Amino acid sequence: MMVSDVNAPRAKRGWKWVAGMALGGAAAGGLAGFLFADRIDAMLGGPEPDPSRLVAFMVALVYGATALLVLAGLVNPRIGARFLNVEDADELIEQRRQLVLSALSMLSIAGILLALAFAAPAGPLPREAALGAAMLGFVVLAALSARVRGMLDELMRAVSQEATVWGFHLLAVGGGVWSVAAHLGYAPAPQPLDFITAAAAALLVGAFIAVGKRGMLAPR
Amino acid sequence: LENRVRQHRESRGWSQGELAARLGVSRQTINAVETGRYDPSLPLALRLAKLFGRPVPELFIDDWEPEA
Repeated sequence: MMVSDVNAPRAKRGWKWVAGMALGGAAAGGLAGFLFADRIDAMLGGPEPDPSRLVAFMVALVYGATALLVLAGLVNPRIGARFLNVEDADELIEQRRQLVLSALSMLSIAGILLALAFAAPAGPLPREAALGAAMLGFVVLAALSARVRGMLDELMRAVSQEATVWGFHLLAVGGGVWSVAAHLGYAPAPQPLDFITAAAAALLVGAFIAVGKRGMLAPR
Repeated sequence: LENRVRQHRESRGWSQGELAARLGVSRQTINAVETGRYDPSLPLALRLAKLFGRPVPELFIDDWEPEA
């Protein structure tokens, strides 16, 4: 069995590996969320569970973890090429500047979400500090996005545009259905923080859809 | 869109990186074009044709035919 696995076509074996990692990650994330939801919620300062802050916190963690993975991969491109699903280490080296700026953009989004999730009155972060951090995050994000855009070649520009379109549609459909349900009294109304979290999450999912549709998630 | 970019590149002994550098795009773009995951823009297709000294329809094969 081991021999046949080792000799399996690389792509087939890779898909199994990716599927295993995805399932394992989802299971571990779900379990961790289930086990630590109360503790995380207490950290967020709410006397009662606040799903909006909790989801913002979780999305921030995903952005932060993704950014740190990219930066870790850039520190050692040979090892990074194995888990960042690129052609080889040279690809990481060639795109180092762009990837660093993209990772910093993701950290900015994580910072914005964290600042808002931990903001007063329910959270421990004073309102003024949260506002300052969020505004700074948006300014840094805008500057980094403009800088990265100038570095993209036509493929990545096309992927970026597709990701944005997917993100918009996800946000429009998800937010639209939720708003209709809330307007008609079938669901609680979205909180202001939900809009920001949903925009960030939709952009991330949109990016995965865009690169996935081009076969760029297929293991190299 | 099926294409013969890889054949023309390899016939000149260029790596994907070399071709990318000549065209001013990333190696990822060349790889995506060659594997059919990305149809290049018209300017890039024209540059490829110019670089290989071949007409665009010889590099990118489109089966579409106008109705008689």
